[in-house]
Amino acid sequence: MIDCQYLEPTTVSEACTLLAEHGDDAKVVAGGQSMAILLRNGLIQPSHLISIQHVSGLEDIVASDEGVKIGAKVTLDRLIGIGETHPTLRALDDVINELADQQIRNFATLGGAICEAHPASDITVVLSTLNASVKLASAGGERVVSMCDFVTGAFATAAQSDELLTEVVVPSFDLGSAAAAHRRFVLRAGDYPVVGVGAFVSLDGSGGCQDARIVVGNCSSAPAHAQEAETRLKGHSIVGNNGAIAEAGELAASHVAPSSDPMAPSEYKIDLVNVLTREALAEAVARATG
Amino acid sequence: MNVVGTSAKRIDGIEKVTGSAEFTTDIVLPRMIHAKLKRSPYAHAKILNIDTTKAEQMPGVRAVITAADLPDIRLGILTLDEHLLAHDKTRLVGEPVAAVAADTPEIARAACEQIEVEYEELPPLFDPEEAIRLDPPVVLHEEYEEYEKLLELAEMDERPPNLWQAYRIRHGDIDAAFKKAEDEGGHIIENRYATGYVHTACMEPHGAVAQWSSDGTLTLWAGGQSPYIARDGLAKALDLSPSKVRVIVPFVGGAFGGKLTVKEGAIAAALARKARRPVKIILTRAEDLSATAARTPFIFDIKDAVTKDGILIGRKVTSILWGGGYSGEGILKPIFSTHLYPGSYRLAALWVDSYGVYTNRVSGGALRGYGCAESAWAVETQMDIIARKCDIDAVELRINNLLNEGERTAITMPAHAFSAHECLTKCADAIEWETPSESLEHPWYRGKGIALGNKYSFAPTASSTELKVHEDASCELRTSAVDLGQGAYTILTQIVADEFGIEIDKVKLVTPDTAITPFDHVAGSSRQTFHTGNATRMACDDAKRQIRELAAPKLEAHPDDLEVSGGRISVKGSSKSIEVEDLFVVEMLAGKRPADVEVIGKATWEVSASPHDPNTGQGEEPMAYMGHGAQAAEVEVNVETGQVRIRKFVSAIDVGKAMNPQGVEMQNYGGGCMGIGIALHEDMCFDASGEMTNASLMDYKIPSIIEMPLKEYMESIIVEVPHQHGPYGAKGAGEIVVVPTSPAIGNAIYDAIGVRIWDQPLTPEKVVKAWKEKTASGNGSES
Ligand SMILES: Cc1cc2nc3c(=O)[nH]c(=O)nc-3n(C[C@H](O)[C@H](O)[C@H](O)COP(=O)(O)OP(=O)(O)OC[C@H]3O[C@@H](n4cnc5c(N)ncnc54)[C@H](O)[C@@H]3O)c2cc1C
Repeated sequence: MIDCQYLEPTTVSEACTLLAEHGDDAKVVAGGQSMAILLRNGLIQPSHLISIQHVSGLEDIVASDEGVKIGAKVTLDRLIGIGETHPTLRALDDVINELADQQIRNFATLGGAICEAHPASDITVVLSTLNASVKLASAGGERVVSMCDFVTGAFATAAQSDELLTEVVVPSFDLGSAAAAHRRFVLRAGDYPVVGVGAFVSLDGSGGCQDARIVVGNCSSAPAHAQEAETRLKGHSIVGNNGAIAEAGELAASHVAPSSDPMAPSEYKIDLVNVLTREALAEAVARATG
Repeated sequence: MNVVGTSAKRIDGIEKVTGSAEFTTDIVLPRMIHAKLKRSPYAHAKILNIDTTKAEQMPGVRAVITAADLPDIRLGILTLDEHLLAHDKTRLVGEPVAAVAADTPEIARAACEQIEVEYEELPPLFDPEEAIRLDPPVVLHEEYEEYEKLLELAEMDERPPNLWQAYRIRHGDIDAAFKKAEDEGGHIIENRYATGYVHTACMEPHGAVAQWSSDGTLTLWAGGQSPYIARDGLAKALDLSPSKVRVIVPFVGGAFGGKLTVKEGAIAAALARKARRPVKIILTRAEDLSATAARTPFIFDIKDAVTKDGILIGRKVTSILWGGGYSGEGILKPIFSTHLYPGSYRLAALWVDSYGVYTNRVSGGALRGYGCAESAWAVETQMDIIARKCDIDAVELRINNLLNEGERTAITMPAHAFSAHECLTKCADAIEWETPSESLEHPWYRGKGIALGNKYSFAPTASSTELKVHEDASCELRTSAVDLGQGAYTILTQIVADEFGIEIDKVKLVTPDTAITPFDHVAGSSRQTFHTGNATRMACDDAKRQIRELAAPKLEAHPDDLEVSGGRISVKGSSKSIEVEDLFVVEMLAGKRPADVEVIGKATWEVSASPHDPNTGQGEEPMAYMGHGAQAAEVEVNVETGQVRIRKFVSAIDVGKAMNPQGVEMQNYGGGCMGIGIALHEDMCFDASGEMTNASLMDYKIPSIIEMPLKEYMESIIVEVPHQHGPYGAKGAGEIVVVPTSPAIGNAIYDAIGVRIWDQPLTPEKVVKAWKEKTASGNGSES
């Protein structure tokens, strides 16, 4: 039995007040899917659980000039097929559909998936690939943090203990010349992946790569850019250039140093980084040209 | 009425689907409290002191026990080497050293944390090959020689001090066989194989509820496989007479060999006695996975002598079962696993040295296929390698080596109702063996593999049943056979309905309760349909005989001329008949007086066998029967990620007579799924201290339905070659369905990408590694 107080604020500011009041002893709970595991394993022992179930205003998906804004409480189930209505989010379609299972997706929220900061998370990899940022609210105001800076380690984020994640913003890009894709490998359906890789490319008019982002999950404590591979591609021909894509895969693989775990030894994860980088890149290029 | 042979609905189906079926965890008794175990964090340590004072003083704590509260008795199946609570030493991480009963499970858990145990850490021993040395770095059981043992080991000049099992087979002239292969252009094929650490991981974790009555009788509810093994184990552990122990088996959420004994039940009973309250214990998933018996690994070194035409003439095997801290239920595995060395093949010479050793890991237990599912991995991979070496089709090679009906195997098991040939060919046809797999685009490759297997059912053994006939002509079967999910209750009900010519819903079952239901050995070794089935038929016969005798005067006929069916007793060849109900009417007084005419049929079915000489592996017929099966798989392998998808899976098993064809089909599917999990996914992992690192269902990879082939690609084939002693000719089906699975899949992987992985499970990481090695050496062929 978990011995703690369960609080149910109804507005963001109420939630922030409670968070400020209870500080480090309090934890936000959204869908509870990761929270239940964290509590069971004794990884956290909060004295207060602040449920945001009844906090209104966190469940919208809105397209604006800035990009697509997704409320923290939007469930993963609602994100299934999101790429059809908001094509810049298509890379999420690569994973949401097979993430965990339907029962979990019904409860799991996007905010929770980000704040859990699981080293094997696909969601943080995809959002980093898409250069998304998150909005954090506290009694003192609001701030915006880029996804690339948000996850700071395994189960650790840049959010202070009094901050609530309210929104994710995925910036727009030109769908005619840019695209992203995500590839992952799981040992069993519904599992966290052994490795996940997100790739974003934007092309110039002649098949060259203007910009590239490659983000690798579960090879370090937080999603990591494969900088050498990105550099290799930027400014070089990429469309129809399988050699460049293969090289990027090799480069990404040669610069990761994952640790072994019961799921897989380090060497195998490195192999997967190579394969998945190649596949994600090839798919992103196909989408950008397609 | 032909009910046997039809796919009658599961009699427990509605209860289970609606959630009304009662499992151990559902049992709630007045004043009941809850137990938790204090477990050792060390793989190997001396216990210097246990201080329970703080725990005892906690509010809500009702009893705390340590070994000091229990009789100083060692327990075990055949080598009695294990105390209920660690005595002076702990020999594996998770071994219980103390136990608490408290008002809630949470208080009990908190109290466990307050128990202070002072340990002196000892160096642990994990490597079985170090363990088996004559001068091992560590000895686990210094007092082994003094232990009570009910089993004779093979003679040795000097026993390695960590050895708990040694068994030999000496059949034929082995040196001559190897010489012949060498001299006459044949082949000598030698390889090392290993199986992995697998857990039964039943949906229902281990648990029990214990209650004492004022006369000193213990009642235990536990979802185990054998109420009588449990009863005797409890009596032994608590130093009671067996008549003072009553074991009731509620519904069981899976067992697969993992619920033969009731260790935690005995601890709950000891707590209940001290607390004077009923005590419930339910293990957590992590405890269940990490600290209850597992299918521990085997290492097989196997060397075959084969003629150039692919005839197996000699086989030499050395195997080590990687046991844990205690010999446990795995004690007979080094013996029983040898059945697969001859398997279904003729072998002029067979030499085997089979051992079991202690290490500081989880103890070895039973898991579906008891040793044979493991040795089949080595043997049936060898057969594939031999076939390729001799350039003979793998099905043909196997057929060429098969025994004939009536022959005996190299370990004297008669080939009776010998259906290996039929299973193999039907399986091959279904997978379209003659047609090679289609080529796919790199990195995907397809291939097919096949394997044969058999599974003995052990002897000596016995089952008794009682069959009461009520005045409404309904029948009540009293049995200690356990339905673990395999469908035993349905099959037994079908038998009674069939024998009495009545509808299934006129048969009631009185389920295992040692105060009421008679002895049945165990729901294990695929024996329930065969043995309890026979006992049930015989009890029906006995009841019908009694009915005929009661009816004879009323019908003015000889009992032998009467027939009982459909609730009527009739005179053969005449229209004269009475209702079974009429037997119960006593004319002098109004109303029925069933006490006057109690009809209770009773029967015991027994199969005897004498143990084989542990030095030669020879003797009389060693087992009750042998079941056969073949399986084939078509796989798709991705050489970059190592993913193996089962595209098609065929399981053809011989059940003698399919008493309930749908039940057999479910064994084929369910066993296939379990076998696929064992072959490709499941692996208990341990860290350097001996602690299991993936003790959750998130991390221990039981495959999900998505890893299984689609239904239309999963084929169940039922072969029916009747056994002379089986009820209606039936044999069991529960275990054979996992025996050939791993080698069938491994052989298919070889067919697809030309690599062998020798140690289970065949994980993606190993596939990638093997493929990289192969492409680096540019060598695809086998030596
Ligand atoms: C079996 C299983 C498999 C999974 N597989 C995958 C996978 O393959 N890939 C993948 O990416 N993910 C996977 N997940 C993770 C899943 O996406 C998350 O569990 C889920 O999205 C968490 O959302 P939640 O609303 O349930 O969060 P909760 O469990 O309620 O919270 C999770 C954490 O986030 C914090 N939190 C939640 N909301 C906020 C907020 N608005 N502001 C600040 N902090 C907040 C909580 O305090 C807590 O620390 C899996 C989960 C499970 C259980």
